Amino acid sequence: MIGVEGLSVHFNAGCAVRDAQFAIAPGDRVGVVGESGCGKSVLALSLMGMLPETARMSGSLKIDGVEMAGSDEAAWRNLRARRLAMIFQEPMSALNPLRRVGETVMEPMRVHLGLSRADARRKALALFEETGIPEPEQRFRQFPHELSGGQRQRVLIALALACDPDVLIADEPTTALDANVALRIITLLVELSKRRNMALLFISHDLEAVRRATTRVMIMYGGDIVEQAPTQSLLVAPAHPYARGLLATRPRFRPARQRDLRLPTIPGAVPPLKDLPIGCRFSGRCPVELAHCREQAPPRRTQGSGTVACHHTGEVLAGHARPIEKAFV
Amino acid sequence: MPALLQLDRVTRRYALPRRSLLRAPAPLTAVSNVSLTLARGETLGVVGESGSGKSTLARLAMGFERPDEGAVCFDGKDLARLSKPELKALRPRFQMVFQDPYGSLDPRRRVGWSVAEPLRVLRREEPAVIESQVNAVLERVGLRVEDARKYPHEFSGGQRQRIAIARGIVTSPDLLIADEAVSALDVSVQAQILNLLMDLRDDMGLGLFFISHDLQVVSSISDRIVVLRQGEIVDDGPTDDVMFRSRNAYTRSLMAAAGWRAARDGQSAATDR
Ligand SMILES: Nc1ncnc2c1ncn2[C@@H]1O[C@H](COP(=O)(O)OP(=O)(O)OP(=O)(O)O)[C@@H](O)[C@H]1O
Ligand SMILES: Nc1ncnc2c1ncn2[C@@H]1O[C@H](COP(=O)(O)OP(=O)(O)OP(=O)(O)O)[C@@H](O)[C@H]1O
Ligand SMILES: [Mg+2]
Ligand SMILES: [Mg+2]
Repeated sequence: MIGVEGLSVHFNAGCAVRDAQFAIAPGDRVGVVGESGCGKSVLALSLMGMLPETARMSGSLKIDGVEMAGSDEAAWRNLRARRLAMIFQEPMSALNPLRRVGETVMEPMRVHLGLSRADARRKALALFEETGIPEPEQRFRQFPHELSGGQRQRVLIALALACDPDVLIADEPTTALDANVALRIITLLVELSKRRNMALLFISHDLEAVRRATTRVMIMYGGDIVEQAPTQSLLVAPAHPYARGLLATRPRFRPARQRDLRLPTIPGAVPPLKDLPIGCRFSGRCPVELAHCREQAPPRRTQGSGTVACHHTGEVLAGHARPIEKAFV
Repeated sequence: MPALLQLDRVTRRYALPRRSLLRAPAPLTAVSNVSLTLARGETLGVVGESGSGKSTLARLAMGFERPDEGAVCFDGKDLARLSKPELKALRPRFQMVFQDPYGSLDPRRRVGWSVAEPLRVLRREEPAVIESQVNAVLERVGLRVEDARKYPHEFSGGQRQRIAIARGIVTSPDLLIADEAVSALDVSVQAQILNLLMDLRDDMGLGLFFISHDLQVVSSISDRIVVLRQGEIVDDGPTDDVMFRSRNAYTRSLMAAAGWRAARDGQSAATDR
């Protein structure tokens, strides 16, 4: 349904997404994980045809077999009306502060589905219910600033689901939610995907949420998709050195005696776009870097049931290369 | 010495929208009879499910909203009794990072301007001094000096959240109220920011009022934890007591609910010792 080949996105400052390649079929549930600033939201916006004007996209992006790269706003608007929907990362910026949230959620149903006011209202209330918004009738009449952060996030989820999309792009949909509500939302999205064959692109830094929501994961670093594999295997045995660092630095419950210790991190930071190495984006921070990593883009290779973009071969990446994990403390 | 922050039986109610013309609905009590203290250099974790009143408590503690009942004292001063200019003069000493970073950054202003704003309130520093402080604080949160010249929309969500944190610590405040301040960050950057907050606490005695729904994150940084439920504190104690041996049924249900989020060790990381 969505086919991406050699997709890159450039800003004046540099390249935010490089040579992305993947396909999403109806009913697929795909996770996207990676460090802050690695290009997850930019990739998502490109699939929605919603990149800012300052962005330049190249490569191929096919939706239902139709090439969308370079197509006009009307074509995109048509797709977004019925087929594609997105849960945006920052709820406050995506909701109109001057409108009651109920009106906001009803609007696309009225415009795109042609529902009557009463039907739209019924459907919106049902969505509020399903996303676990307490006292839906009352919330319906409130303004965004009168809701808690987690309630606003759920309004946004209801809005994205308003027109029964075939593809849902969810950018950090559970970030502001406590464990119970987050689980409820994940369960809802998975169920919708199964029941209606809805494809789900699930962007999150919460690896346990990704584990529950998806069957396949793409790990991004510095604009590159560095590893793609089935969720179960990737979260147990990641191959790419960055993916390993990511798993090694997961937060855990810490008893008091450890509380004064600093948490493990991947040393350094993602360089700004203009300073990204032209070869492997992770070079400079990689504990097993080779001489040519910085200059040469790594090949994409099959590894197990996924693909990895790394100059190292199976030997180093397979198994339990403890030295890689040890580097991240 | 007075406590850094003291809340004394604080209650906050909100009016709800009318459904009929005849009768206004009973107001919603978002925070109910909450008392707590926070000492210098201490980290107080605040947990509770969505809608339990955490952000409302934060706004009250900052003096952005007045409580309907009770008092909020910062460094012994009752915020409700301060004049606007007095409150403004005190502001650099207690700062807040908001749950929604977009809301706290002016989209038409360069990031450097927004980060420097709490400093300018002081009206003491030379522009060059302000600039160097802004640069230093941007680097501490993992951003670059040149980022000061960009606009908020040129950043990713997590980068914007770090800009908001930079703004919160630029005055070296005595108290930082952090409302879900690290929740949009990936684990490694999140750990870097938590480490930074711990450094500020240890080096400068920063008091932290740390709100998060992520119990692992809270447990990794807090000395004490309070549990909020429907606006009331239902449990309170040293972190380990609340996290691991609470007798409170609600706290235990929160912990149990969080269980699925806890990192599982299919592969035990090198850091697990
Ligand atoms: N409008 C823009 N103009 C210039 N640069 C941009 C713009 N939007 C994003 N960028 C840059 O592109 C890179 C990727 O941003 P993106 O928002 O995709 O990150 P992300 O992976 O979603 O991160 P996060 O987890 O923090 O949300 C970042 O370095 C960001 O600064
Ligand atoms: N200005 C307001 N008007 C009416 N109700 C409000 C207002 N602000 C907050 N509330 C209500 O008060 C309750 C507590 O909200 P608050 O934002 O403090 O929750 P929270 O614990 O921060 O939740 P979350 O984890 O979702 O951010 C919620 O039910 C919310 O809808
Ligand atoms: Mg993002
Ligand atoms: Mg809140």
